[in-house]
Amino acid sequence: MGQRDYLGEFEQLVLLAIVRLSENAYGMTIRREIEKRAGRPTSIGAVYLTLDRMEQKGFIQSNLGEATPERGGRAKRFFKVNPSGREMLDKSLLAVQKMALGHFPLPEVL
Amino acid sequence: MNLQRRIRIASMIFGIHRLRTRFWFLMAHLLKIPTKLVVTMIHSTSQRRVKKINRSTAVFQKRVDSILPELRNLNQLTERRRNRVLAERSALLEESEHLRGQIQAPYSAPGATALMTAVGYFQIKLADIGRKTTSFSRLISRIDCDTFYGELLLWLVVPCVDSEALTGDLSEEYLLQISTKGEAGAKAWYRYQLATTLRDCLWKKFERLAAIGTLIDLVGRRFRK
Repeated sequence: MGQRDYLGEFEQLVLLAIVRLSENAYGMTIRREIEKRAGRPTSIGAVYLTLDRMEQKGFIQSNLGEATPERGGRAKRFFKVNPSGREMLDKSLLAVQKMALGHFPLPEVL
Repeated sequence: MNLQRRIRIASMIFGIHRLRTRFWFLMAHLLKIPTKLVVTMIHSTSQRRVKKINRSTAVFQKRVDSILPELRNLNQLTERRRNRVLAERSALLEESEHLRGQIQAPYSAPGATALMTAVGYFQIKLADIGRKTTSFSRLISRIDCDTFYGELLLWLVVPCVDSEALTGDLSEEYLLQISTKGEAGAKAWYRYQLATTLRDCLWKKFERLAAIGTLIDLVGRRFRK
């Protein structure tokens, strides 16, 4: 598979954010999604470093979008989860669920 | 806002970028020498190989010609002779496979793989420099905006593959923050994002340097032993 056979916690959050945002997943929306849902203040730099790392591992892919004036004429970089990334995410989430089973009742998602 | 000061700082930083660009172009120029050497070696190797294959093919053709009449009239041969002809045919079939393998094998020369890796690295490096230069021209076109110094710092520190998208994201969000938090709140948010992003990117660079340092140290120890 990749360099290692598991995902870090932040990598999981980033992948989940991309899955949730689907077509609109780019740096700032991913950062906002993590901040909104996980309540974790995150820098845009940390998000991009993680995205680069996962792209190198082949978990995600990116393509450039349109450039807009409010972005200073710079293009957006949209991200999409690859099948290998999706598989890795499922594995990681399943591992957490299995570890928590019977000992830590998972809180209901609001 | 002191526009002249901004222009002075930007031109100073671009001067450093130009020096870096010249250095990499010089390195790429120097790479021409080993490239020519390897190309010459591949050429001479291929010439030698073509001659060798031509000789082998001529011998092969002679052997084929010698058994061809007997192969056509296999039923008229004695048992012993037939077995010998069939054995020769099998040997020729093997020989033809061997010749085909020789013809299809890629040409190589010592150091060619290392050179190709170096050429690939230089291609990436020069493409990065091109991207950085384009990115700088975009930065200069926004020299009068509030976030100019922040964008300049990001241009310097953030890897160029992310630089454009990241700076664009921050500009977009900054405008959004002005409308929700006001200018002071937006500036504080921008400064926080800038500081944490620079910290993360610099830390990453430091980690890479530390890894290279460790590797050099390990190699050095091995040689000292």
